[in-house]
Amino acid sequence: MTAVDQSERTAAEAAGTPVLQATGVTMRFGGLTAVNDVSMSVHEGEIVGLIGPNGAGKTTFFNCLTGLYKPTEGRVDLLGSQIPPKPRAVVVAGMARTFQNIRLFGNMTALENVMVGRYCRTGAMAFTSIIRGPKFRREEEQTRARAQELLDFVGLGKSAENLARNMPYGDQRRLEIARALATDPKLVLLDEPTAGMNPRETQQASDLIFKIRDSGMAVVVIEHDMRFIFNLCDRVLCLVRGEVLVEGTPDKVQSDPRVIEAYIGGAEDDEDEDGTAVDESDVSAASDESHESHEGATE
Amino acid sequence: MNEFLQTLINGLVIGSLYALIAVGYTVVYGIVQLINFAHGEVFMIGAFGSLAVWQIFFSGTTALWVLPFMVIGAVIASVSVAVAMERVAYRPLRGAPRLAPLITAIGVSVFLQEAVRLFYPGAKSKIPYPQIDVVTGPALQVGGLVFPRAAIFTLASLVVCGTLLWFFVYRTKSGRGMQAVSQDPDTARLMGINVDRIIVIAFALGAVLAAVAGIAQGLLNSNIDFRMGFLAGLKAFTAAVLGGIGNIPGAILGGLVLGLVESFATQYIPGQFGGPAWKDVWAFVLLIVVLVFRPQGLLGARVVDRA
Amino acid sequence: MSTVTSPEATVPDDSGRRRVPLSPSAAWTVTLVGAVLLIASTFLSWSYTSDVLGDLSVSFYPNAVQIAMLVSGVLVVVALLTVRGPLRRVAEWFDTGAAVRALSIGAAIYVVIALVLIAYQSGGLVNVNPGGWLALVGSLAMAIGSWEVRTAPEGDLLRFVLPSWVEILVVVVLLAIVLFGAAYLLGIPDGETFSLMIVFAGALAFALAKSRGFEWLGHIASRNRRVFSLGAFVVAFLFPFTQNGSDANMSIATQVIIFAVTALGLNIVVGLAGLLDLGYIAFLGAGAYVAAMLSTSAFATVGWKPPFLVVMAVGACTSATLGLIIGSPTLRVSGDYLAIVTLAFGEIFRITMNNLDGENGPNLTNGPNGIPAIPELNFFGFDFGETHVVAGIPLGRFANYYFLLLIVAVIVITIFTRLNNSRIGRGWVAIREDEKAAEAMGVNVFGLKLFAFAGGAFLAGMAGTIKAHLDVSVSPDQYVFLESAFLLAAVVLGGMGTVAGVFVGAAILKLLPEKLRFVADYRLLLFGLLLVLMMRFRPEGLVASERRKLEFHADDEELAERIEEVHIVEEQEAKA
Repeated sequence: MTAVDQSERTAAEAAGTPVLQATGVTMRFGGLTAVNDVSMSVHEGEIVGLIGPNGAGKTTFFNCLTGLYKPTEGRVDLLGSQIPPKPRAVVVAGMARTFQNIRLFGNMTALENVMVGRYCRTGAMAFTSIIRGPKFRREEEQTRARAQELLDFVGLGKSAENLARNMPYGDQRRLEIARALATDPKLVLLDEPTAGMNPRETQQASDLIFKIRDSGMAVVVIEHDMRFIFNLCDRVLCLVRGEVLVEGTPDKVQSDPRVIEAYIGGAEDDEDEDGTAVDESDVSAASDESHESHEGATE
Repeated sequence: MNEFLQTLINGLVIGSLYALIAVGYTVVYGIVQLINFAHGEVFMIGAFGSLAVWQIFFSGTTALWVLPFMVIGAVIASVSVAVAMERVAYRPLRGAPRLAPLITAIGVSVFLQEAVRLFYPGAKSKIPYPQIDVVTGPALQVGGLVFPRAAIFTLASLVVCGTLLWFFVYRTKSGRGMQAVSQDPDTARLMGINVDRIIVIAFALGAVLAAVAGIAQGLLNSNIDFRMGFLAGLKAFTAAVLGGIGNIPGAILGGLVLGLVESFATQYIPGQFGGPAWKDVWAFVLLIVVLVFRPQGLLGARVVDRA
Repeated sequence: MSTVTSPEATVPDDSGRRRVPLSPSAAWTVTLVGAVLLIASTFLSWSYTSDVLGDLSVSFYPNAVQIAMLVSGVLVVVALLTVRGPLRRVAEWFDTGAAVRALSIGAAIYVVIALVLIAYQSGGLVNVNPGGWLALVGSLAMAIGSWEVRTAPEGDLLRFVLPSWVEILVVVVLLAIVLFGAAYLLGIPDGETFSLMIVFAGALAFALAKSRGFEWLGHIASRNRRVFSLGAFVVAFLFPFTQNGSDANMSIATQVIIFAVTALGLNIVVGLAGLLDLGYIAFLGAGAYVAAMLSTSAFATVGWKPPFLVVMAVGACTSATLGLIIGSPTLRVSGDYLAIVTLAFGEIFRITMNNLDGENGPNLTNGPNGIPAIPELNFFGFDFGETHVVAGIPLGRFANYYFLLLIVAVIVITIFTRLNNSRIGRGWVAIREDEKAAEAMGVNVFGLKLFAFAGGAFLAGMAGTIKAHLDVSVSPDQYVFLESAFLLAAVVLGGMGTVAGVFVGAAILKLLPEKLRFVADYRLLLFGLLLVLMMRFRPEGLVASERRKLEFHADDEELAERIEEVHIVEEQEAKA
């Protein structure tokens, strides 16, 4: 199943322009510079990882990419055209995201959550909805079918009628991904998709992301689970204190002494371990970072 | 020139009234994100409280020394109502979706209006407010300008209340607690601050100022009416937003600016749309304009975005 | 019998409650005896004088007040037979013990009030006849005994499915009861009898609720939605025919419908899109003023006199335009501000209508006097002011407007439900749940909000044009903030996001003040109190959709699971 309509590929894409090109993105909140001159490019079919210690600015950077924040400086280009810093325009252009703290529509069923994702790709307006002609019925059917398809894709096919708030945590994360995929993106941004997951679930997440990539989408992942990142990603960026410390293949990044130092010795042990040692401190790190982005949201 | 100064004075007088009431809105909103719709009624009840004191103890007197007692009466009435309101109607709804406290506030507002109308003797129509020496009577003529005597009380009380407020918020423990809670109630709680108590203090604080404003209104108009809280409250909220919601100096500034805008619009807008009949409309138009072009108000809002 | 066992050994299901010193079988008997006594008492006279509560002074001829107690007694006896007796199967599904308790306590309260009224109105308790005292004894026995009548139904009502024709019959019978009950209630002349009947109806409703009857009816309704809707429409349609030409009730009924239609429009704004609109009355007023200005009244201020359908369109579009003007700048700001701004706009509207009297502005609205003497609607030759006779029953002016409004109501309801179950409706729910997340998923948050706001205004304008003709005059005083508060209350009290809820809310808010005239002065006081109490104890409203309940009781896990279960079963049935 391809989640991306092949016919929508632009000439620019075919010519090798990166799917995402962020140039010199800087985000300042008053006196605090959360993101400083970060550039990143993502090419078709790539899985790029974004790592860094707490407060490094990863989620803030995501927010800049997706228009939740208006970057103080810099530009973001999707498929060769600059996108305005507005969440809706970003989605329509083809970039979708999940959230660090899951933001599902709790009182809606899983199917309905994914159907909401189809909103920007469907067009039934008020008149059509009231009259309920064949066009309306057809579109509703298509929306439903597509939503079910996506639930099957992420492995939640049986949970379609469950309320999102009642679902287990791991399922909720997958549901958020399904919802993001419903917007027919070219690029998916995943913010800590394996937070709080056990090793088996983490492996499933990894498989799912490969599946997403194989369907023709590029992926950027923020994560703290080093083993997960290094097994998954084609390229990794390490962000420290808002700046890019190093960028390259997983091997190059994980053996870079500066990266190891940035994690203050934590990363050294991760090669052999499950990654759970990092998880514990990173659970608090995740909450710190969410606090950081939450503070920023007050501006 | 005289006309200009006169308009200015009128604007400042009515503006001080709005300023006093606006503080109550802004303080409560800053801490619990609730538009206390019934705050206008707190103002009204303060006025009735002072009237009650006068009617019971000082009926017939116009001496100035009666005024402090009236202030005490007003404050007691306002604060009791405000604290009761918080405890009974708002506290149980702390976590509820926005609509619930709003509806409750409307219910409280209607209830209080009717309670006064039905149970306060003579309140079914406008009740005359006592004349007090010095602060009521023939207006003062100073250099060609007319100062309504009540303006003495109003402006003086704004200055006094403003100063006391400043001391309270920035120099006392409770005041600092209020600042803390309005920025981050969870952390404030973790620091040992009794958030519930602070909220009660916030309500009480707003009520004290509203009570004083109630007396001012009575002195200014020589009568009070159970309906007076509605319009005054709406305008005071406009003032609070104008200055920056959650921002106490903002509320005071906003009140004064609103008073001036009303005064100048009434005086200087030509043709049929000038004149007192449209006074209120200008106030509301200002509200809409502020929200469109500068929603954070003149001095900036001080509210944590809970979204 | 008391044995010393470890505390966790046996867990009685009602360990916390206070008890009456009666064994279950003794309680059952006491209740039965009480019920029989009550039934017997209704055949005796209760009062010496004949001017109280209808006529309570004739033996063997129970009047309405007594019949209510007769019915209560009979129902209690039947219910008791489900606890012990031939009807035991019923108690497996329904908590008939709770029904017995509700009816018994209700009866006791009823009788006490009745006796107090008799004493008060005829000058002393001495005027209460033995029948009345017997009723008191009977009902008190019922109340006391019933406290220990307990049943513990175990069946899951979701699975309690009767044959289809039986369920449809239940729906029809239910609607018929509603029809004739409403007609009867409206026809009660005096406030005291009305209050007693309300107590009785309340006890019935309570009994139905606590015994899980409403739950069962809810399942039936959702299984037979079409029958239910059609039936409800037929009932509403037949209502004027039960009035036999009397205008008094039709007037109230018409007021209720137009109020409900307006509230339904507000329900789109508040209930579906979650926008706090406190100035909705202005949109109604705009439509009404447009109709008035374009009417052939002697006081009309505009020279153009188009046919009514055009007036309706102009009125609706005017309101919608106002909605767009107000909505565009303010819907971007937070919900709280929206509330105040819409309130302010409502005031601007009222003041403007008051001021455009030629002195303070061009004379468009005739100022504070408004535009009176608006003539009756005349639609394709059908004069709404004339009385027409159909099937032998005269249908007067109000009946004519009633039918028109019924059609409008059907249209608005259709719009409401179809929008709710569409891409737009999903968008609105998403906005209510998490606006920022919805925006991040591509939902056009601002566009949907504006659509709800202006769309609601459009419907209000449409209703307003009819209202002008119905009320015969428009004036600024009719469109004050308090009216907005009433509309909002109808939506909120009735149950946001549901059609039935709005009609229930509208009926309560318009009906009770009409019938309970003896508390007219305290009307608003009670209204304020009602709002506070409702928000405290049942914020989702009386007839709330299940999902809405979840929104207000966010921490209720059990509720969430139950709703999911119901939803899954309904989906399966829909596919079957």
